[in-house]
Amino acid sequence: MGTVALVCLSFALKKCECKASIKKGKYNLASIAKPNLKTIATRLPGGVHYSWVIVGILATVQIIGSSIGMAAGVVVAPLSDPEGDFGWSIRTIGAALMVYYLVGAVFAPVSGWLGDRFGARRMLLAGGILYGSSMLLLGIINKPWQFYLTFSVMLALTQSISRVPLMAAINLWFSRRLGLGVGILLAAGGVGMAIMAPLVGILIETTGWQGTFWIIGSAGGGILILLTLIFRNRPVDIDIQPYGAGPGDPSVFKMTEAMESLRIKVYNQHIRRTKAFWNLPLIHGLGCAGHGIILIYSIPIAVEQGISLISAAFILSLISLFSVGSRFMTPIMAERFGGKPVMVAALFVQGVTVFALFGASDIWMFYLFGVLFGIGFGGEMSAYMVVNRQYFGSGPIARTYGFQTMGALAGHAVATGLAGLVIFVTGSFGPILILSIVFSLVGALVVLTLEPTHQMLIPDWEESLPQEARYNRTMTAASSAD
Amino acid sequence: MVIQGSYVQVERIVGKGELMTDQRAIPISFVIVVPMIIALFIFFGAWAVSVDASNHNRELTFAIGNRAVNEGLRFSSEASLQPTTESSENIEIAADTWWGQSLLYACPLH
Repeated sequence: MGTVALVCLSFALKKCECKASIKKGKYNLASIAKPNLKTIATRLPGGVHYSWVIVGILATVQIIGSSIGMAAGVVVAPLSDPEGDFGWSIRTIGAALMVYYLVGAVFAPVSGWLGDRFGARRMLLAGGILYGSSMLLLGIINKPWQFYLTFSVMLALTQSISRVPLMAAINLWFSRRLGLGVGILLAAGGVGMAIMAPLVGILIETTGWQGTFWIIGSAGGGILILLTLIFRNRPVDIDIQPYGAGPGDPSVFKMTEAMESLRIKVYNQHIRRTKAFWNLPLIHGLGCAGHGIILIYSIPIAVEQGISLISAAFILSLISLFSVGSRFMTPIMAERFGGKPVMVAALFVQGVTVFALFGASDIWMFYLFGVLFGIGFGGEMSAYMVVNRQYFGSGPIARTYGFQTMGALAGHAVATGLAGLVIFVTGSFGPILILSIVFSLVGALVVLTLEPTHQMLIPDWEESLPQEARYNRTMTAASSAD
Repeated sequence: MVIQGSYVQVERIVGKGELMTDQRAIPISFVIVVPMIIALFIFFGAWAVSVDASNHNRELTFAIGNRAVNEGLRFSSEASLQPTTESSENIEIAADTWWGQSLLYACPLH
């Protein structure tokens, strides 16, 4: 029944796209040189631009997607409980979490490529199907290999889709105020984490393992699939220009599939020749390794100081809560003041606040740490979309963002594995705190080696394209037509 | 592949034996930091394998989640808050595994 519904939905989507393509002259370049500005946006109440609807959809995706990450933390206790249904060792569960990060890291650039190639809308549909089916299967597992398959592989792929192409999709919808759009998305992810953690915990308590994941899977997967009905890949798909596009901006229009592929290929070739292409994933990796250690070990450190587990767990809540503000503000500040100083500041705050853990013994010290660290942690991860815009312009950025996400997840894998080894050989938490500080501060130093963010690194990339594949050519044509 | 300053020249054969030189701007920071992290992994990994081999009661594990710093202690359930002692039976010694031997071999200090 569900499969039939999905097939029908895919068919309906394809039919809509075909109709739109024919209507808008997808295969006739001359007929679409002048964009049709009778748009769906003008029909929204209050003249709200459709870009904000897209922000709403993607924010919902981030909230639902964040439940996967939160599930990772919440499932450890029921899976390892010797009196529960599973009774697996911490090593088995830990290895599954590490595989989850590694699969996500490896798949991130691939999901970015898929997003550029097939469009974010199809990725949203794929993500919805994958999310629903993974959660439903996760509800009926009883062996470790099944957990590896559903959680470490299937949900890692889903997470990768929600974090890469469905985050990068926003880049095409905003000519101005991208920072605000990205800030809303990232803050939604933070709020989602704060909501989903207790929700998953309560559901496990009240409905059990199977009920929890069936409810989450049905609701989350269903919402994601339904959202594909109103989601569009680009403004040009509904005959509008990106939010804030002015007369000086090149007009965006539909091209043949071959031309679109050529644009994506040439754009990414130019990006790969920049130093920022390599440095940004490195910085993201160092930043994530820096906060990954703290997210995993701040609770055990507090417990070692004699604080109860429930009180210690509130440190993570404070970190999540106070990261929401900096997740929201960082992209806006990066857009206004440049991404480079904002990234340095965030990594610096993330690094130096860890010093507070060396002297922390009372609960209020840990809570104060959680507040301050949350600000740096939220800022560390949030400037990349805006920096990508500042360096690379408003092209199909999903593949590049995929490499940056790969760096981030690899950083988490490093934090998970390396910190565990260091604790094992030294028998102390001190060295891993130093490691966290070093990762963050080295990340800040690498940011300082980046080019200034007020100038585009590839301003002339369209010159490598044939005339008919350039947006700038159309702007000239449209102007002369006027 | 040749590193020139902060650039790396990659030579590859394309088409019918034609040699193409592609200049990629791999920054020096990347070239330094990534191998250092890999080296840290090898160093601590080999150290951990050595410790594991010299003390069979210690279990080598990538500590994740709520593992306490004292070996053998872990929380069986967040709700009960009761630490339990891990069994030391049937624990594989890391130095006997292929990856343990690889780490020992790769680390110049071992």
